[in-house]
Amino acid sequence: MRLRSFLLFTAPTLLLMTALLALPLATTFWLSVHSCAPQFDLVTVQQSGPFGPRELTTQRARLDSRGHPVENCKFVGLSYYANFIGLGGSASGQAADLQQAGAPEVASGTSNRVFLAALSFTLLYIAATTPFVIFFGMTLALCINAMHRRARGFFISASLLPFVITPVVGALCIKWLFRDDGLVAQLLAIGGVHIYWMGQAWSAQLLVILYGIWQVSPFAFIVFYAGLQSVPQDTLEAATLDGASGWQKLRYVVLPHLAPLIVFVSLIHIMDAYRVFEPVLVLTKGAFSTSVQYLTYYVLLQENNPYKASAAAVLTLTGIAILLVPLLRRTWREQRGLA
Amino acid sequence: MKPLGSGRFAALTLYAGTGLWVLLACLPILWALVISLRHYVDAFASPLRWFAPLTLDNYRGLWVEREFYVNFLNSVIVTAGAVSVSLSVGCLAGYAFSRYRGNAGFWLLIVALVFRAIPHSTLLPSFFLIFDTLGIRNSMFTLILVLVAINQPFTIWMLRSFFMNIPNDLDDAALVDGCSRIQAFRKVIIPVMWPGILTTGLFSFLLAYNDFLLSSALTNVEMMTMPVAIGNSINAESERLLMQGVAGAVSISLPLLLLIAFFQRQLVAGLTQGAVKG
Amino acid sequence: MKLRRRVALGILAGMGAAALATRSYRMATRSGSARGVHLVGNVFPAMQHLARIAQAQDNGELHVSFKLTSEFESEVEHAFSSGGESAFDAAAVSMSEFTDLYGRSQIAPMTDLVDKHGARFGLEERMLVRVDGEVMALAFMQNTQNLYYRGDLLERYGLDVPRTYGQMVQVARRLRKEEPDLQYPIAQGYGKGFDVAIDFANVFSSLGGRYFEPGSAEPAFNDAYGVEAIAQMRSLMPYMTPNALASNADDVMNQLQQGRAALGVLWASRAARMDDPLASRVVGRIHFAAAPAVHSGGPSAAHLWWDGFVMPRNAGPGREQTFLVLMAMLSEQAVRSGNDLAIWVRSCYRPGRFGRGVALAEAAGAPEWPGEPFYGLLHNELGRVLPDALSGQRSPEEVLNEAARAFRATAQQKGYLREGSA
Repeated sequence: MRLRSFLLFTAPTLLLMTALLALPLATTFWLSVHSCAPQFDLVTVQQSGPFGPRELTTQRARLDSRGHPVENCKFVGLSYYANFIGLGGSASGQAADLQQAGAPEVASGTSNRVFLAALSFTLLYIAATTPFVIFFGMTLALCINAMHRRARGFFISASLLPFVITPVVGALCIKWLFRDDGLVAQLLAIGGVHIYWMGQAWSAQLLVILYGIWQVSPFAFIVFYAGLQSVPQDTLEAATLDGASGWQKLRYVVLPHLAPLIVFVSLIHIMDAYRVFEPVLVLTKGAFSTSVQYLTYYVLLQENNPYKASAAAVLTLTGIAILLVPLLRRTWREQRGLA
Repeated sequence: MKPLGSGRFAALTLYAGTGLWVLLACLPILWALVISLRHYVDAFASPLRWFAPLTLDNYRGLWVEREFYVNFLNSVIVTAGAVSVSLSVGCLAGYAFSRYRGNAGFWLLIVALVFRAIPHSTLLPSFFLIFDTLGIRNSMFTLILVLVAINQPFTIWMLRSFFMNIPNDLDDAALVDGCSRIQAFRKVIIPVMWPGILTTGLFSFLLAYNDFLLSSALTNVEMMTMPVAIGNSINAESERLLMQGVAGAVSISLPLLLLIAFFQRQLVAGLTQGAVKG
Repeated sequence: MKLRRRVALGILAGMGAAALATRSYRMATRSGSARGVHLVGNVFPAMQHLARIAQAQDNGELHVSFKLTSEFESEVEHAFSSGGESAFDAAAVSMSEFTDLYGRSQIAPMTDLVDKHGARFGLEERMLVRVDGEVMALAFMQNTQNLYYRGDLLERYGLDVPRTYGQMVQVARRLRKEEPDLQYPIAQGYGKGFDVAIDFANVFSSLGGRYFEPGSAEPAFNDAYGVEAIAQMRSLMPYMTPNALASNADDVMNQLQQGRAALGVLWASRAARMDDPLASRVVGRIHFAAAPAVHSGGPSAAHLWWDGFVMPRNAGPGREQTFLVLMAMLSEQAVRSGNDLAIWVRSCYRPGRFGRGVALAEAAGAPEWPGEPFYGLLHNELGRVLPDALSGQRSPEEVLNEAARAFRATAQQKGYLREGSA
């Protein structure tokens, strides 16, 4: 195909991706090093309402001549980044700390390093879910492949359910199962295990991880199952003739054939792990487990600070790059070979 | 592949084990179904109530009072729009990537893969800024295009590997016969592409239908899709709205169940043919 | 196979076309030359009632829409601060949003409209929220925190309604002894988030604590009062379910409704839900009183809130039309038809069993919610760290200092504190 045709065919998609992915990404970088805030004046006002009058000394934004609040926009460099990593500037550390008058600031408080907490949970999530997703997906694919043809349809459909369900709905259903008097919590209580799932860090994080395994295993399953349909039959027959057992066939013929798919599923899953959002939002509202996606969302919509949110976004991208670059390198080399 | 081991016992463990997995996989939504048919006092009872009177109040309240059918229509529009645009644009691009041998194609693919890794919320702050400036923020059209763009990397990768499995001879023959590239594409390739299009379309469908983050950030109440409406109901301070949210959670899943029941065979066929080779 | 595929696609296409057609029809018949009044507010039953009334004003010439969403805060913030016309002509906000919006000078005064139309609609002075004489909001409902208690149990054991936190602990201890089923008589929402900070605010102000240095946004709450507030909150915990550290107000409601708790401090607006047989097992057995003070003789550990309508500075044309729609929602008729849905401000409101909460709190000396616009930032920070101190994991001093530090950083980012101020 000539370059001209190529460009013609790919023009729409390139246009879309540039306008809605590349450009916003560049804007995010720009936003993350700026900050805008109104200018406030100290005022004392007389307020009256349903509960009677009161006097209030408060701050109010200054208005310009057209009646719009004055905005101070300036370049703040890396200060938002520092904020997220917990390297607070000297100004923020001079609060009149309790019982530490005169003593230097104690740099405690791990929850000030919000981004690192979010990133470390995301990495924990990846490490905890990926092996299980691969394992369950593979086991399920092998099992269903071994079934009678007629029975497969039902089992495939039912197994795909967690993957197609809306993540918000899935997370809510898990919450209703594990809440204080939910089904699973009660069943466990009958068995003597009393855990308040949403009440402490380890169980809340475990729930998010369980959710991840529950939701992604079907994807691994369906990819591996499709792969099993294309295992080279002649190699298998040759192995049978050579007297190989089921396990040996699995290990020496089937698994190597599926190896590229394992990499594929892992790659997609790791990318999606950085998008974990709904379980964190629904299960604990960010209390014990936070994810990088939730952090950006929270800062943008709750704190209403798009500049700070952009800094969180850029940090997220850095976090992704660290993990993904080695994996991408491998894919690059493979594709280079193919192309 | 022959079943591992033989005999009744092995078969029994196979089916029972897989059946258990299936039960665990479906348990959350089944439980949601059970409590959606109860009043709040029984659905969230403490301790758990195993049996309780059933009611359709929640569904009635959701679909009639809260006008959930409007949200349903919105979801249909957004999803249909996103899937159709995504497939059209993606097919053209996937075909081009599969037939072009130059370096530019390769580099663009890697860039697309990098884009696939971007979480949605990373783009939100700039979306807010850009869309507000252009005045197009609360628009279904904008949402559809954003969903399409987000899914493009995955779509073109999948479609490209499908196209790579269609031998070059097919369109070479058409070109020799005097067709232009576009004509070759339409007449020769498209008819063979259905499994690939269906599979890719399914993934696009899931992305658009199930999206919560972008849909809630970029739309107005008239345009709320179903996931957003459900999230809204759950967060409200009223247990009636909460129960309607539960009913909504079950309602939104029904089309998905039908979808996988009908198309699971095509999905496997499509994946077998295409993506698993790439 | 081919037929099935074709049929499926045909159905999909048909649905898509039908959906588009329906939507276009709806949107076409709605717009046209009519002016629109667009409102936004939180979603709960009283608001739904008002939304219905507002939408009844919708006739051929005027289009009224009332968007109810739990994300209303960010919607309002976004609309009121946009450079162009606000997407909403008025918003129903609670006190905390009001102080926020007023502090950013994003609300327009309504004094002229009130002077012009007020008498005609019988607007009462109590409903007008004035700042330096200008009417900035129209309050329509009130709220506060009340003590909910199981009247039948207290009566059975001859216990008085607790008036201090110490008495609450005593009552709880007695109830736990007498009722083996009632292992955790007290219910409070101490999970990370909004509700635990409300509890802290109530206790802190009942002790006489002060959040900020007067005349600035410098945090002053990380002092002895703050430490004692946390201690008081912890004193209730032996009588609360261990899951309290993951609970919010909804869970507290649930515990009371299911009869698993006998005492709890909760929003007065939720009172009516205790008597709905479809939601509660303790119909008729829950009573309400002013929230206990921390120490005897002190003010009740609660705050007084109001909800009202505000109009933005960057509203489009049609202020008067908007105001008239607001009048319909604030009318006596509206209050009468929805009497039990909220604690209305209008004097024609007849408080039922559930409606006296605000009056009780006022009589017991509860103060109004703080009026500083940056208080909300502090609220968020406290909500994030308090449960660590309540669980005993970290010391109260550490937690309060951290909240102060985080608050200072955010207040600086938002412009309330100047950089480099100490």
